[in-house]
Amino acid sequence: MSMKKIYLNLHKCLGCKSCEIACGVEHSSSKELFSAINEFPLPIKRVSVFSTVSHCIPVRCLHCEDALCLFACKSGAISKDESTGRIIIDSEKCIGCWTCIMVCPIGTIYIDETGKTAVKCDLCAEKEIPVCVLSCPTSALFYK
Amino acid sequence: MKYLIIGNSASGIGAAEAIREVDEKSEIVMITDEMKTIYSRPLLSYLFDGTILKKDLYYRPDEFYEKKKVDIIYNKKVNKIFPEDSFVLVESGEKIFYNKLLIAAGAIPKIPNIPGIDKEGVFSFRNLNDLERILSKIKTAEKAFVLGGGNIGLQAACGLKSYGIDTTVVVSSSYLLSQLADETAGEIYKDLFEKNGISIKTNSNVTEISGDKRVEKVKFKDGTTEDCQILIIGKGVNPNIEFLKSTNIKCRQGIEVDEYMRTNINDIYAAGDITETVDIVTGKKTINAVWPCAYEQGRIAGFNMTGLMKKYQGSIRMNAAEFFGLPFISIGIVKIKEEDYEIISNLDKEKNIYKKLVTKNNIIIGLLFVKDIDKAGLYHNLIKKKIDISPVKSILLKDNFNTGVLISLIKKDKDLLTEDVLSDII
Ligand SMILES: Cc1cc2nc3c(=O)[nH]c(=O)nc-3n(C[C@H](O)[C@H](O)[C@H](O)COP(=O)(O)OP(=O)(O)OC[C@H]3O[C@@H](n4cnc5c(N)ncnc54)[C@H](O)[C@@H]3O)c2cc1C
Ligand code: SF4
Ligand code: SF4
Repeated sequence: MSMKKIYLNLHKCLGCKSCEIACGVEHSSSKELFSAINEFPLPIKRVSVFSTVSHCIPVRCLHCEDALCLFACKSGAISKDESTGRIIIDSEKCIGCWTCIMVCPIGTIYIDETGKTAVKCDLCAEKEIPVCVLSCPTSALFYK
Repeated sequence: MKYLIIGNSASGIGAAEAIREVDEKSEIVMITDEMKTIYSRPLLSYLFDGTILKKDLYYRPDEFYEKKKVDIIYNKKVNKIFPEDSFVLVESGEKIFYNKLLIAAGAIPKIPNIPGIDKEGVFSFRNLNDLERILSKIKTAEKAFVLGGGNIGLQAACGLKSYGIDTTVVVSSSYLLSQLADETAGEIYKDLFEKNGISIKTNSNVTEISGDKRVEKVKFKDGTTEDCQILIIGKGVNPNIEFLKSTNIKCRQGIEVDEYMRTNINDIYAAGDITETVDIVTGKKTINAVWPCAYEQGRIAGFNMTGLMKKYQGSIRMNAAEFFGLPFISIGIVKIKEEDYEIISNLDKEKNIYKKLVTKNNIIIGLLFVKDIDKAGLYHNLIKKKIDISPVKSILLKDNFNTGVLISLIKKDKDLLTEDVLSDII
């Protein structure tokens, strides 16, 4: 299984949040910043940059090998793509029970603007390289 | 090698999926006494209140068994296990042999001993069959009662209400959700249910059910009676161990297992609602009958049936639910019984936001969040890892407590210089 992941060079992240904006725009219907901010439901970014004692860290779903959200999801909405290893939420199947939010150890599942379904990083399903990686001005993020 | 799994719900599926991750070839047989579908029990509540349709009940897609090369036997009950000769005896008389057996037979509803409980119109709410029986009587009902104010009872009440039936929930304690919540949260949900037209009768109980064949009246502890055409029992569950009585499989309340999910009998494993496991928070053996624990236990058992030796870290009581748009999450111990517990909480009554953490010696042992639930997983992580929270106690429930703080807390600062910071804190 060729599983690509997003890696982080910790020293390089400046905390500029370019990745957050790019992610929000990518998950909008227009995919344009200026129209995205007026959409309803408002698009939700799936990465958040946090500061620790000494660094800035962009946090998004790690597509865990042992994904607790996948094990816990009681509707069967979460699945693992066997060829890529991606952990995916099927928003049609999701019933908004928030069991996944209860178990994700790094808190990287969000409630969408309608309040009805759980959303998280999908590694930009439609793109070759996730937009957070493309948008990072310091190349702190890389995908391999 | 031939694996046999009794039960095709959370823990059974968890086991089958794990076995197939390791062993692509051996035979897997699953047997269930239910009908032809692979559905999720928790979804039954969403079917009841009309959020989803019957076609959306499935937990795994139709092609699951074929893709995983599992032989599924529907609608057949295992009557007895014969460990000496490694086979189970099915109701219809046939024997099914195994090399490794998983008992994932779940739980059955507790039925209180009330005169008239066997009347028509009295239902439990555990499987699709129960729900279909309830729905078949719903058109001829005007007044319904639900016995029990836990998760299942309240979900059943919402279902009944969605059909326009006058519904009352009867609870023996003084507030709702008494097993999962405290009085403050229980009150919030009581108000919410009443605002949405469902009556709540606290400190009460049904003492008698009367009627010709079908229930017509229920009598309460205080001697009053009311008309009733449907009564749903939601008083919790018992492990389904009756059919094991003839074996030497060790049970207390549920089946006893070791940390590899093995029973005391060679080649027999157990997982899910039928199983007692060590609770991470209390350190005591108990049954945490919830979906996430059942799946995970099944998964561990499955791996170990193939010969791996994976340890189960222990279970933890956890529930997430939403009623009338107001979500809550409850983990571990949320009510204090002794004095050396400390409580960190805040309440915004106007907005229905309530957050409470229970700590002991600076370790979080319980969480109860209403409405503002999005960070629950972070605290859950701290509970499981038993992390000393004293460095961040003052901001623990504040907005600035976030994944960054969690990372700083779990990792020493110098460890942060490695690249895979995040995978290390999971
Ligand atoms: C309406 C409802 C709502 C729920 N909501 C939630 C929720 O929101 N969150 C949550 O965490 N949990 C919830 N639960 C609980 C959750 O469904 C259980 O924890 C979970 O189903 C346990 O899975 P299990 O595999 O241990 O057993 P079960 O789901 O009980 O399945 C047992 C299986 O064994 C089979 N079986 C039993 N005996 C035999 C026999 N003798 N022969 C052959 N087959 C047999 C049955 O057919 C079934 O397939 C809910 C339950 C119900 C009923
Ligand atoms: S959502 Fe959380 S638990 Fe699920 S795969 Fe991503 S990081 Fe892991
Ligand atoms: S909120 Fe959706 S994705 Fe999350 S556990 Fe519930 S059904 Fe699954």
